[in-house]
Amino acid sequence: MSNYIPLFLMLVIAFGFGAIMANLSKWIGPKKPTKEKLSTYESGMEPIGTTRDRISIKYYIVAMLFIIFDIEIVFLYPWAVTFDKIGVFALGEMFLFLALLFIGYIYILKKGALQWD
Amino acid sequence: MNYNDFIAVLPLIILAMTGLAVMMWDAFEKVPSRSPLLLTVVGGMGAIVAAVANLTAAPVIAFGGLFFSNTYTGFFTIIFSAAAVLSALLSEQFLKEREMIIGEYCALILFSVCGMVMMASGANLIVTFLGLETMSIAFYVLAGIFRKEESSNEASLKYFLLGSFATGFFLYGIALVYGTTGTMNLAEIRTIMLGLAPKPAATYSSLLLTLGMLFIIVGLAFKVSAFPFHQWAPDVYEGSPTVVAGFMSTAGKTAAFSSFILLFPYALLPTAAVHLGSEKIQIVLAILAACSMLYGNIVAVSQTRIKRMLAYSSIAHAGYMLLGVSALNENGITGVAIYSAVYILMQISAFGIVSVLEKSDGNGFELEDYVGLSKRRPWLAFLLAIIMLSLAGIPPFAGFFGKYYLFLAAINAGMVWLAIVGVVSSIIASYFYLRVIVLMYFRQANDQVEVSVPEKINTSFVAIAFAVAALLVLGIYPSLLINTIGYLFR
Repeated sequence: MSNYIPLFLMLVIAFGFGAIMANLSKWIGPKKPTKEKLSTYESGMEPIGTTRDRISIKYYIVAMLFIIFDIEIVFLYPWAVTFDKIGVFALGEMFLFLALLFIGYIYILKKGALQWD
Repeated sequence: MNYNDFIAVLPLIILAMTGLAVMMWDAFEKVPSRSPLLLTVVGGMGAIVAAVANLTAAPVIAFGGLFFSNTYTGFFTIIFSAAAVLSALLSEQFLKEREMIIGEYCALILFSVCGMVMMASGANLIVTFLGLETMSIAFYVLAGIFRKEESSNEASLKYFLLGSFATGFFLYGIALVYGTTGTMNLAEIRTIMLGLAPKPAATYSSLLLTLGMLFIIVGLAFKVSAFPFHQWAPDVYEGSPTVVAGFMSTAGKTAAFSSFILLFPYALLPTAAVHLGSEKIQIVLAILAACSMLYGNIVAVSQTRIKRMLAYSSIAHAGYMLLGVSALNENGITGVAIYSAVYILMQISAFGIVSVLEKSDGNGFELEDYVGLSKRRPWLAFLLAIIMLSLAGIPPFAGFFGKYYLFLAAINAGMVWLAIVGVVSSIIASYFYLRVIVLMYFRQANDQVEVSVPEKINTSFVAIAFAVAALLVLGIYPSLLINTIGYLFR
């Protein structure tokens, strides 16, 4: 158990540090509110419409598909780094992995998930 | 790494490849046909054949301690694949009436079975977790496959949010077990628990280990919808398409039980081990089992919709199987295996009949809709009557022998009180199962003209009739299943 005490301490310090830093300017900073200062920040433009805009579901689909192929890179990278040590078997395994993702890619292509209209 | 490892996981490879093939077929198909269904059935049968072939092989632990391949995993692979084939057959007509394409659906069923097989053969906590997630993610999508229906979406979202939360518990439990024992390999954990290998003195803490086991129990109890982690089940089963609910509540649950057994009686709480806290964990499991049995059956009595009634009764059935797990002995494992097979047949065909009788506009779920069914659809009413008798555990049907073995296991483990709770809750259960039969046979529908509709012999009817025939055969010759399992798990 005693192994965990430094970890616990680090947790406490990290939370405390974060909480203090996030609130420090609020506590000690001078506050002179005016109407312009309190209005929504839009880089100097007049705010238009509501904050909670409805976003087309296509963006989510693209985002999800992006994550899948992003994860592919995450797996490819360590494989590429240790490639000379793990040899031909890993090459085969990695190609299998890529092939599975490629099948998924063909599927989304044929199903029209990437067509914008 | 060798060639035999691939033979050992051949059923899994067949299922995954079939799933991909179905997916590709669905993507390239111009006109929807029944080929994906055919492919699924062939793939499921192929997995069954491969699993049967593996039964005779010597047990191995494949891929450097990741996958078990023995008779236990073979048995569960067979029943999961059979459940997939049955559900695929039941779904054809159901999906066609609702203008859904069957390809995606079949691919998801196959992928979820891959996850189940991984759970039943996971020799490493990570593989168990991977299987759990593969299964669950396929289920989340399947629950919401009628994406234009609000109830289906609601079911899917509820299941997804609560399921991911429960998975978090499971994963944290794995982390704690790994942290204390220093290994994720179930066989190594077993040797540590049996005292055959030294405990890693620096990290071992029985407190953290107990906590880890409790977290794992929470995660799995959620998946089997045991009390008090059941709240999602009635809503999800009611909202999701009926055939999907039938598949989730049977194959999904038994998959969770197959890894329950691997994790608890096998690895973490081996029967022979005198381990600090093992009685406490056993009591926790026993209380969960008792509460699930009583709660599921008592609440099911007051239900007026048949899908909700079946959902609550599935909570009770989870309780019966949990009773077998909590016994932590050989009888319990055999009992869970027998009950898994029987329960899959009963519950899938019960949901199958509901799916045949429901109307495409979402009506036909009220118990009142079953009044006078024996006149309108005599064959379906007859089959449903047999299923209800079997679910209630009336002796000539297979459900009785499943329960008998589970209660026997509890008595052998010295938990007579738990067996008594089980019997009492079974008696409560017989009320609402028999009520369905009473409504179908002994009640006249007032305002309806009683016209007998001839049964169309389609895939749904064949699948239901096959499942009921299997229930009858296993009920009349219980030794068939019991001896097979006894031989397999010797």
